[in-house]
Amino acid sequence: MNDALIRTFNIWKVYQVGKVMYPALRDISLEVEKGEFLCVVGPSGCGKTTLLNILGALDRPTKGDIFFENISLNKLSDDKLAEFRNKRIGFVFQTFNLIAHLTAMENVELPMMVLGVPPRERKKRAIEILSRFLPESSFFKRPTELSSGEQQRVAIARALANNPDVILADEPTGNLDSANKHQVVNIFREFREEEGKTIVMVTHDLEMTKYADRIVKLRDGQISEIIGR
Amino acid sequence: MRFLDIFYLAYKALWTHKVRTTLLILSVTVGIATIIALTSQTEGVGMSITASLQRLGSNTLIVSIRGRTLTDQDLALMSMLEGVRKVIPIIRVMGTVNVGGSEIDVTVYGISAEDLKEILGETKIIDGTLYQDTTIPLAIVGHDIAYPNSTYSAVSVGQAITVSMRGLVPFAGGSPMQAQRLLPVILIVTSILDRYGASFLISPDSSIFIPLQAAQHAFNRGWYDMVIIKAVDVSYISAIEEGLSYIYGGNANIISPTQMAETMQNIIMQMSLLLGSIAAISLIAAALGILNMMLVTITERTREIGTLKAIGLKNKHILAQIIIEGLLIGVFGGVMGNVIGVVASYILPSITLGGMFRPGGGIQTRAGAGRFSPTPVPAAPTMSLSYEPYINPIMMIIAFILAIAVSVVSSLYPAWRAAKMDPARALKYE
Ligand SMILES: Nc1ncnc2c1ncn2[C@@H]1O[C@H](COP(=O)(O)OP(=O)(O)OP(=O)(O)O)[C@@H](O)[C@H]1O
Ligand SMILES: [Mg+2]
Repeated sequence: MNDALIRTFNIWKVYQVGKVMYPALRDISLEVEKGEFLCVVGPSGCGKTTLLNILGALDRPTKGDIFFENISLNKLSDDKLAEFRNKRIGFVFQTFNLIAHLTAMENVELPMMVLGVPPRERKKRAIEILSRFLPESSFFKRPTELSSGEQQRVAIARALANNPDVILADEPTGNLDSANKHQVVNIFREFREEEGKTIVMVTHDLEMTKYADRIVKLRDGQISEIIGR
Repeated sequence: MRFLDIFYLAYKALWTHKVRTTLLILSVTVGIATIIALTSQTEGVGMSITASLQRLGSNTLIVSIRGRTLTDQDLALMSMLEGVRKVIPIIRVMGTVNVGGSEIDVTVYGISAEDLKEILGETKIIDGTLYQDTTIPLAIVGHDIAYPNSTYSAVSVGQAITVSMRGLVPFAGGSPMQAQRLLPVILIVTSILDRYGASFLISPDSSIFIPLQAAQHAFNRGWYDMVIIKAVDVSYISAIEEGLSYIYGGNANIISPTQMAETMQNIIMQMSLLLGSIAAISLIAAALGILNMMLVTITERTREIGTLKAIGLKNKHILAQIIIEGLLIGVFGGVMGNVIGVVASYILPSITLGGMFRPGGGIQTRAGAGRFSPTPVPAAPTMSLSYEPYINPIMMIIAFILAIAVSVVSSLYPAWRAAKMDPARALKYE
């Protein structure tokens, strides 16, 4: 086995709904290996998104520890977490979540903008990444002028912009047709194969799990099974 | 993250919602334009009044005595006061003159030729020559009398005009019981004055000047209605005022144009402040509009904000972006408000006061005209209110700062709401 990239120890996430405490995650201990393609599956409401957000430092566990390499994420301030996400995590969402008032190019430039990359450099890099996924004529289109498949590819380009260690994708194929689904997952695979990066993908679609090295099954906020090599 | 990039994001976010942004900018524009347009009116009025007062000079006092007219004795008394350079007696009679088929209100001043320049400042003549001191009723006619409707001249040099004196005039400085009705007087026009514009106390545009002796003859009197005292210089003014009070007690009616100018400036400033504050209230409406719209926008953009946070924008970046959006609305609103305010300043008088203004003339307020007035009171004489709006650059800057302050302040709370959003929850928002 490789080194672990992300390790969680007995993680709980408890939401308070009115007076009732609702545990969305219960005692999750999980290691995400460097360079693996991990799939998270489970019925709706079992806590997949919650887990993914915690792995991506977008959310904090109510209880339990999480380490990214040797960094204890619990100990980082909100600003430090934001910096951390910016440099090391690439998020891909089911609904693409492109910024509507920015062009495809600008969306890809955005993480680099946040990092402080000078305009000329970041434009060069944005073109470099985008040209792998999109015809040049679409670079300056707004998200609404792009097809779903194109939008998701722009979102992936944006996630890759700062060359992150891991891509966290929450049902990235959920809104795509079959051809686009496979294209998206293949992009992930290439990213892993060519650059040795890590993928964590939440999916409902069992067909997509065939690309995975390991599959984590969640049920009622707990890991019910890990299928892997 | 560079500040310029946050600026750019804010600009792009605003630009996407063109209609919404335009409306917000307009709400600020209206407030700012109102402030500029209103205060420029009062400032314009103030400037024209003070300018006309200052034309008389700071070393000037205008004197009348309550309850009676002034005689040569009074003149002699006054000229003996320390610091008095000159005492100018003036006869003033209200009347109407028939020119070009219409009756026009006029004030006839009897004043000697050499003293004329003391009240007119430089003499601006369109046609003819000034009169010499004589008993012949020669007349210098004000611009608005010669050009009652600004196009053609109703009076020309050499022409005789008939002035009917209005009301009753006290007889021989005595009681109203002895008042007599004055007969019409025929005057020969020797010159026509150019427009003097705004004036206070003495309004050349609607006046007729005749030699003092001619006035004494025509109106059959040896006394005067008022006296203008010219001091050697300003420093003597208060001493002369004291001297006059000493002689006449509480009956001396003394007007110092400089003092009046100061008082007027004060009043005008307070008017400006009042009107400005009323206009500023419309900015509160703008502020609430921005606040409301921003809150709605923030809610609509919840998922976008979540995404920005996932990408790595810090809370302060989000905060800055929303505040800059407010700032930009303020800047555009401020600039447009100033531009429209300046335009409106010049249009406003003709719209709101259109009926009250004679073309090229002014509001005519005549105290005593057509009314029985036993004693002429120079304190409330003819006032001609034609003015140019004055746009104070300081007011423009204040209004601009106000525009920015209002929009920035009303975007603070929405910005704070956006910044503190929980990213995981924001991304779930439908
Ligand atoms: N902010 C919240 N407040 C209260 N309860 C929440 C909150 N977020 C999530 N939950 C609850 O936690 C549970 C797990 O939510 P999560 O979004 O992780 O599910 P999921 O597995 O991603 O579901 P789906 O497949 O539908 O996306 C759900 O029951 C949800 O209702
Ligand atoms: Mg989910």
